[in-house]
Amino acid sequence: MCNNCPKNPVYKLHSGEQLCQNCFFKYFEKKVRKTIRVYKLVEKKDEIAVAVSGGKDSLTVLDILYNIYKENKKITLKALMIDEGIKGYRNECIAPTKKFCKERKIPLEIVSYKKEFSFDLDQVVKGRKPCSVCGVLRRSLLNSYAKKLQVKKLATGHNLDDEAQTIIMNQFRKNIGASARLGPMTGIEDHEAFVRRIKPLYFMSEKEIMTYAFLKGIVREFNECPYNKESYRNQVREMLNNFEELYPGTKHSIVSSFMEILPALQKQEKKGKIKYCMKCKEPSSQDVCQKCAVLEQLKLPQ
Amino acid sequence: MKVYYDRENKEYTVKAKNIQDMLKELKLNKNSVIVVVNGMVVTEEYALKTKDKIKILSVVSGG
Repeated sequence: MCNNCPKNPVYKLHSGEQLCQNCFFKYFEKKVRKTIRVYKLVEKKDEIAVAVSGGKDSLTVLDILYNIYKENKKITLKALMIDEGIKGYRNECIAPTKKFCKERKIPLEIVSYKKEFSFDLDQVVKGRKPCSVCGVLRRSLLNSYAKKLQVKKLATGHNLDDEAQTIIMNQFRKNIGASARLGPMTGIEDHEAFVRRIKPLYFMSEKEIMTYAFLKGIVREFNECPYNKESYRNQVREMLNNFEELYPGTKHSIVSSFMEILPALQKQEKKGKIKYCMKCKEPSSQDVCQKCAVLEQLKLPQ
Repeated sequence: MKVYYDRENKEYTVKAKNIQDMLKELKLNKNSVIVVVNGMVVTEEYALKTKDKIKILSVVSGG
């Protein structure tokens, strides 16, 4: 039984508390609203683009932000989708995402690798790590198109699992500087080169999001990037899920203890002057940005 | 009892009497899936019945 009412439970929290569908919806939405409020993810007159992939995380963010702010005329929402050109995956996400946005009257911008870089991801990944190539190019396009859309913030579907995995991956790779750029909101306020990223699902687990998305009818069909299983992240995901099964609350502990040290990490991170890529003029920590370096490796025109 | 698992697009036959044992039998981590019985999401304590229609949905999506 649900801990709050005499209905069948749909979710068991790591504390052992069981919740029925209605109580689970209330729990989920309250926790997301709290994250938005506590970390000031959305402020008055914000223009927000939501990075959508068509998966459960990004569509849940879009749906929740839409429901919270649909009556608020001072906050505008747009959706931004990157079509990497992954056969059997991305092409199948586009039509449902268009329908989802149309039903809510949210403008959707679709940007493709094919148009931007003259290739599909599938054409260039042979013998390479697909996620490394794709991640750099996708992040670059999200930032540049968020600027073109003239939004103040870019919302993403990053969740508790993603964040716990990234924290551990950065530790394992001795890349602690990269962890200083994590957290529910990243980026620099009012900087012409960057659009701030916000993560409203920061404290929600992947399982909670899937349960919510399924029960709300946000997603029904399974879709997973075919390159996902090859990734280092996937191995860390499995390791953390095994720990979570043995020691419930592990992922929450990783992220909440990380939040305690994040201010110190950010302070320690050198605040060097932002440079601009000598090739594409986008912001970069090096003379040539990661996107241009990847395109150079691929030996393709920029 | 027959169980469909979407990530593998495969149907399995299981002997387990509840969800917790079913996931153990299939060697699936409970944090990586949700289980839908007769269209409704259930917790691991749910006792399976003979005519139940069971689907296991992976929570992994995207890339």
